[in-house]
Amino acid sequence: MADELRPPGDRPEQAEPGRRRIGRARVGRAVGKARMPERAVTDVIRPETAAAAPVFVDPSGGRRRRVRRTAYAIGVLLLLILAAIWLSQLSGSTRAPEPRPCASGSAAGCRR
Amino acid sequence: MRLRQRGGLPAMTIYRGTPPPAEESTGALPAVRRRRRVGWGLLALVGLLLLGTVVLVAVYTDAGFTPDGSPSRPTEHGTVPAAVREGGPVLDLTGPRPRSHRMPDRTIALTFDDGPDPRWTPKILDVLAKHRARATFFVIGSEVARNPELARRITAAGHEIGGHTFTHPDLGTLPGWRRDMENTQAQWAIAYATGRSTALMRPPYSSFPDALTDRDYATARAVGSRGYLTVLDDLDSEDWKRPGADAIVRNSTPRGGAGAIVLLHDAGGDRQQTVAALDRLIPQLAERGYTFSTVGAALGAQVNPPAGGAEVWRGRALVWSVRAADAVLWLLWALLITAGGLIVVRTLILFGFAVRHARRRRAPAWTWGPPVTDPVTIVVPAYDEERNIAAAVRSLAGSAHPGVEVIVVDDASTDRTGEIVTGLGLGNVRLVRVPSGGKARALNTGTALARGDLVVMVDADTVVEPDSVHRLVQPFADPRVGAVAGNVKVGNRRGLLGRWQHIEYVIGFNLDRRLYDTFGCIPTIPGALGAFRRPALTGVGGLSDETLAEDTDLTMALHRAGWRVVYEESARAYTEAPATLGQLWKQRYRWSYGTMQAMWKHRRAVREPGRFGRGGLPFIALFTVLLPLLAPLIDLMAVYGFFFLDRTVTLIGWLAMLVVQVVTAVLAFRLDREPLRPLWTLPAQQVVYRQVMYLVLLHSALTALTGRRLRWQAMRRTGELATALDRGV
Repeated sequence: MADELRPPGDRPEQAEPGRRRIGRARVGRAVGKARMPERAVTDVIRPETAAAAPVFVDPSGGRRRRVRRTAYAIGVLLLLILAAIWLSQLSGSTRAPEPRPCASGSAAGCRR
Repeated sequence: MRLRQRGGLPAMTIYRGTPPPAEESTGALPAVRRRRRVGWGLLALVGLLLLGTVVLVAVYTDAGFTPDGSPSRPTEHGTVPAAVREGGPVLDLTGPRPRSHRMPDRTIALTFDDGPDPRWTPKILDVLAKHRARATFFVIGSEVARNPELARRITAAGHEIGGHTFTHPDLGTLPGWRRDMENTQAQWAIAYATGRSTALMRPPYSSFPDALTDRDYATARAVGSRGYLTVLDDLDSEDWKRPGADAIVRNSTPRGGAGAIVLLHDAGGDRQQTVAALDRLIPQLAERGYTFSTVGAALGAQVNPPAGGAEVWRGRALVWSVRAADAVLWLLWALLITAGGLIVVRTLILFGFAVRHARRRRAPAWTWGPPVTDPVTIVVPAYDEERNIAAAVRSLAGSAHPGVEVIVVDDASTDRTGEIVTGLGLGNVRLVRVPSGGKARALNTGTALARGDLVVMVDADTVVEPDSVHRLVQPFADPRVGAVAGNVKVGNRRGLLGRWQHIEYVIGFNLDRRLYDTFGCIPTIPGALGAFRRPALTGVGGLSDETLAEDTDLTMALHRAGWRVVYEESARAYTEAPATLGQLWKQRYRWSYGTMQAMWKHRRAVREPGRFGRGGLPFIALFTVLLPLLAPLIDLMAVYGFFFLDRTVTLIGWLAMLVVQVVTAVLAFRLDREPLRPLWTLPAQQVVYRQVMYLVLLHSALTALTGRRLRWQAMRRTGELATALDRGV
């Protein structure tokens, strides 16, 4: 990094009347500030060699798609379970069974 | 020429040497491909519904269970027919005319209420089996749901089973639909557990037919209309009073040769006496010619016919919900206790080591070595910092250290940042303009241009005391030290948020950093004030923009490269903290996401030799990620406990946690020699921060999981710093 850098030349400016000394240009997110081409300083720095991809970032979006599908699937499953629980418990009530006479009519007949 | 006259050293502009990465759009139009975001809000709603159901089920199944033996109840009994009051204990109100039944002579129906209980029901079943006696068990539905195998054992052993409601409320006080629900759900729980239904039902808090009040009778008629036989009793063993086995035997022995339904309990407390009494009662009565029958059998009816499939299925849903709710609550309590334990352990460790650290540093003999007077280059990355940059640069340029130069790296600001710096006219300040590339690249550029080997990095929103930089570089007297963290404080302490962050900085960062320093595993040199040896920086390849917490990433890299990273608490800097909750959120989001990125990037350090990987990284993960994720449980469970459990205990527990935090805070403030006044906002700060940090961490974790790209966000500045030092905050 450091060896690619040359310190700026200590060149005095010779301002010409009526001409802009510094130009600005936006290129996408980058903003370039430069002296007008005829007096541009030639120092160039390569701030970064090929940068590694940021940690966790998945540019393809595939992981997000998988996470989204899984999360929705789990969400729908939970909703179904919740609905089943609520419906099963709040809908309707059960009557007690009709007590049946024991087979022989005696107490012993009811012994299982 | 004019530039030099105005600003001392010339401003330098750096052009991008490499073409921008391909994914950067080249036009002003945003990228067309829109990615669908995960609807976390919807999913959170489902989660809340789930949690609500869990709480509801838990509260429903646990609420108001007090064993038999009820508080005062009305005693009017004008509407109870005399035939019922003087009749037998089994009330058949299913038909138009009330009928009651009695046990035949010399027939005993032993009845056990409130079970099944995992401790006592098996013992009672054993005694019954030993004497070959049958009995009738009136079970509570929620207990059946928790112990279905016991209910199965009861019916498998040939005993009869009856309902005793689902949650043991006083049925007379409930509206009709709730009463119905109680009996129906008890029915379903029994159906799932035993495969049988029951026609028997004993209302909680009931006793003899002649003790029936108007309300009891109304209840009995209502349950009778749903097909239930109401089973009262002739003899109350009063075992719930625990009067001793002798008294229970006496109470349960009928006069003369009459038959009787005897009330006993197999749950609701210590039933040792009941078990002992039963073991004597059965042989005694058998000797006197009594037989032991069940309620239904004695009346000549099969009261437990097989249950229908629908009832079994509903019972299954009910039992599973109760189990799931119990499991979730158990898990929450376990996590809460873990979190509480961690907080206490952490506090103890903090106390021990932070105090020791402070003592050692304050000792008159303490020194890093010979004074360091090598020239220092201060690198200030700046993006749209026109409000603060002048104060920051002026305070840095005026540092009391020989040979200080300041390099302001203007990262393509769109405001007047650059002009302000050149306009200051300070001889030891250089301005470098770089194409938009992020903080890490700006810092690398500044480092590359540094004249000396000592590089101090300071944020553009930070002012320092005159001797801060000098103090900060003193640890470099030790050649093993590669980086030094400064003591960063909040400059804008006005308003609640400012105060809260001040407290947080003093406790969270400074006290913690002393601890980490003691263990040699400082996780972050704050971007606001840190010093580095240039060889250390270049050795690890400078800062990287792989993470959003480039300072944490760098610090971890330095640890792994074998450099010592230390804390110099006397080098103070005042930084501008976010002034709105929204900005605080964004900042913390970036920090926590960046820290996660850095920890993940350096995860292999745990298998490398050295203190950092073996001890520091897991420690940081535990206390900066896991603990904050558990911390809101303190408040969640406090609310739950306050409404549904013992209020006093809950309040004491919650306050104890607060006291631990207040004590920690006081210690931190004393060590940092800060006035204690802002601490009055601490309780609210703790509560709010716990929730915010939890949400931030959760959000970051989800972002990490989905792999979404998160970028630096610029902060809106108030420019309050210009006067921070003068105000002496």
